[in-house]
Amino acid sequence: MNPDEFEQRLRKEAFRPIPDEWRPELLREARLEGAAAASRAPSPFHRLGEWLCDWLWPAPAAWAALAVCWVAVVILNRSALPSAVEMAEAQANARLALAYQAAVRGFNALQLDDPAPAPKPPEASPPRRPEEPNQARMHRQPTSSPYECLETVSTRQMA
Amino acid sequence: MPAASDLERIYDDHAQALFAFALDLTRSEADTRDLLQEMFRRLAVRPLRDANVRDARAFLLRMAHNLWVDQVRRHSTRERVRNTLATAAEPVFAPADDPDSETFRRELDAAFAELPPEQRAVVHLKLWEEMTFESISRTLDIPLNTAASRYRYGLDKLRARLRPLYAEIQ
Repeated sequence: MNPDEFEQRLRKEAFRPIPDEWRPELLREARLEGAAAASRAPSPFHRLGEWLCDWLWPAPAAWAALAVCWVAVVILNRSALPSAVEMAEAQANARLALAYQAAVRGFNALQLDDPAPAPKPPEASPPRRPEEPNQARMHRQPTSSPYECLETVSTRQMA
Repeated sequence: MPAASDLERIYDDHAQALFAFALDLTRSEADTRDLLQEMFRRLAVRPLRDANVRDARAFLLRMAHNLWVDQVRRHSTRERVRNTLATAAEPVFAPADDPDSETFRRELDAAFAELPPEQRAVVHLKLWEEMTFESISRTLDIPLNTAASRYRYGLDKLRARLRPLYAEIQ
């Protein structure tokens, strides 16, 4: 049996005709309904409901799933909030940090109000001759050794 | 509210196809009438031109299918059993003059009634409305592959059931 032939054979089968008396009945009832709908002005809420129904109809399961996801997000968000003890601790820490910042700021302000004397620029020294360092090294007095210094200190203490 | 002529035009252009589709789904003339009644009531309240419809036939078939889904949800199990029992008494196809054709029609009616409604809807739209699978998938709100597979399964069942008779008639 060729599938195409079979399909063609099925296509030839005609359906029962729609009963003739249905036409005036259906159209009359539809017109009455239409007139009634036109006479009663729909409230904005009714229109909103119809619009929502039209909008949500194609995939009610998808919208329900989305709503469930949102509820889950809200619940998780609520459960992730810190406890009262944690909040109090965080607030105390924040207050401490603020106080510390204020103290540092006050200290800085004090330093700015009373600035330290600017270091004097070094006096201009006469240009050194290149042989001077060597000469200075030659004429320099020998410094006391650390042992001598210690001895001096201990002598003073004993005195 | 649409002009009376709009509703009449819709009825004259599409009522026969909608009747056949709805009767195929419900297998009950009373339910088909209720379905069409509800459909034209809605069309009277909200005309097609307000719905921004490109393909009126596809839109109306989709509307009929949605109303049938609502009807099935509303009906209790008891009513569904009643409808199932009434299936045999509600032929969908027109009677034929030729005895062979009449026998085939009766068998086709019975074979069609045995198909699940989802497969029946796809086979109906494909064979008698000559819709593409893409259009069927949009109308019935199902994936394209589902529409194609439902058609194949449905047609295979019909072929298996009608094979002996069809071979005899040929």
